[in-house]
Amino acid sequence: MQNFLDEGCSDAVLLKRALAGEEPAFLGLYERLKAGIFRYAFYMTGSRTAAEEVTQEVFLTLLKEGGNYHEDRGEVGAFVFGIARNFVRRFEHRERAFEPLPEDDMLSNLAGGLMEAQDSLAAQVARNQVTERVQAAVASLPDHYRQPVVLCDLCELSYQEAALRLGCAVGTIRSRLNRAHRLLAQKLQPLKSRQADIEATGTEGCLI
Amino acid sequence: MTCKELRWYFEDHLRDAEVRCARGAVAEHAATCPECSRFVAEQRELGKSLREIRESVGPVPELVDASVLLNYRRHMADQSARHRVAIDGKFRPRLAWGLAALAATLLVMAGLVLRSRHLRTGTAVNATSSETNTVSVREAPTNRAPESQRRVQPRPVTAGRVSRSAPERTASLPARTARSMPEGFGSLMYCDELSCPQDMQMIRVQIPSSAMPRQVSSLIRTSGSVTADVLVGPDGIARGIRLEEIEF
Repeated sequence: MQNFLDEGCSDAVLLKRALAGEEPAFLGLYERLKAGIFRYAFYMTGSRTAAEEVTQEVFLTLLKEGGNYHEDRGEVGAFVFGIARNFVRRFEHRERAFEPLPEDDMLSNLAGGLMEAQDSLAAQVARNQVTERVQAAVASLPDHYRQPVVLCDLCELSYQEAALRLGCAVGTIRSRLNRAHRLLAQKLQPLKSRQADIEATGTEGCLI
Repeated sequence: MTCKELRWYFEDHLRDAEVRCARGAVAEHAATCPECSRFVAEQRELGKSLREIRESVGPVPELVDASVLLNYRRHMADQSARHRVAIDGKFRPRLAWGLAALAATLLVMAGLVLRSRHLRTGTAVNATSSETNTVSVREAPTNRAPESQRRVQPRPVTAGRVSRSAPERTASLPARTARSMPEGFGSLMYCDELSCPQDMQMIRVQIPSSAMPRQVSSLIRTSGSVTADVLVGPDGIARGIRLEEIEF
C-alpha cells in the first residue's frame, strides 16, 4: 500500500488495478479517499454511525460500479464523492421521520472531557455545547448552502474542487458560501450572546 | 482597503482569516470601521466554530477500515466465482454448437464417402461387365484356337438304337460363349462355365425318327433315322444337339 502511495499513481490507475484484484492498490486508493468521504458524511448527516455506514457503502459501491468510471469525465475523487452524496441523500430521506438522539461517542467525549484535569467542567460543557450548536446550525442549512460549507469549510476543498464536485460554477460556490456564512452567523448569534452571559456570570451562573 | 474589499477578502480566505486579520490592511480597516469590525469579529467566531467542528471528527475508525477491506475481499471472491460461472456459461453453448457442427460435418462427410463408394461400385460393376464382355470377346478367338486344335475324343454311345458303327469323326468345337451353345447346336440344357467347366465331347449318333419330336419326325419320317452330333459334358449329360443330315 505504501508503495502505491509513494509511487504517485493516479487515482484512476489505482482504481483500475483495484478492480483487477490488486488489494494493495485498493488499500492505497482507500487511504487517499477515506478521510474526505468520512468527514463529508459526518458533517452532512451529523452522525458518526451514519458516516461509518456511508463510508463502507461508498467503497462497496465503488467496487461494484467502478467499471462505469471514465477518466475523461472527471477524477475518481469526484466520482466517489457523487456516490457518497447519493448515499447521504438516501440516509437523510430515510432518517427524516426520526428525531436524532445524542450519540454514544458524544457522551463518551463528554465523559472523557470531565476526566481531564486541566479543563474546568464549565469550559468543557460550553465547548461541547458550542460544537453541538454549530453542527446543528450547519445541519439546518438548506442543502444547496450546506454542501459548499461542508466541502469548503469542513472538508477543506478549494472552490474549484467544490465546484467540480457539485457540478456548478466557482462563482456559484462563492456566492452560496457567502450566503451560508451569513445564515450561520445569524443562527449562532443567540449562542454567542448566551455564552457572553455565561462568561459574565461565571461557572456558578451557568450551573444555576 | 474598502468595506467591500474586506468582505470579498473574508469570503475567499475564511479558513485562515484570523491569521490574516492579525496583520495588514484588514486589521487597520476593521479598527476604523465599526461595522466591518463587527463583521470581522463575526467571521472570526464562525471560523473558530467551524475549525472546532473540523477537529472534532477524528480519524476514520479502524473498524470501518477492516470492514471495507473485508468487503473488498468478499467482492473479489464473488466476482471470480461469477467469472468462472460466466466462462462456463459461455463455454457450454459454444461447446454444444461446436459438437453440433462437428456432427453435421461428419454426417456430410459420411454421405459423401458413401456416395463416392456407390459411384465407384457402379463404375466397377460396369467396368467389370464391360471387361467381361471384352474378355469374352477377346477370349473367343484365343479360346477358339486351342479348342479348334483339340480334337474331340469320340466316345461310343450306346443308347437305344444308336448304332455303334456310326462313323466317328473329330469335330472342332466352335467357340463357346458363356451362355450360348456352339453354332448350329440346339440347347438341350443350360450350359455355362460353371456347369460345363471342362471341354465337352461331341458324339455322332443315329437317332430313330420315332424318338424325334413331332416337328422333326414329320421331316424324317421317310428315312427312319437321323444322324446328329450331341455335345456331352464331362458329367455325361447331353448339352446340345445338331442334326447333321436327314437320310432319305
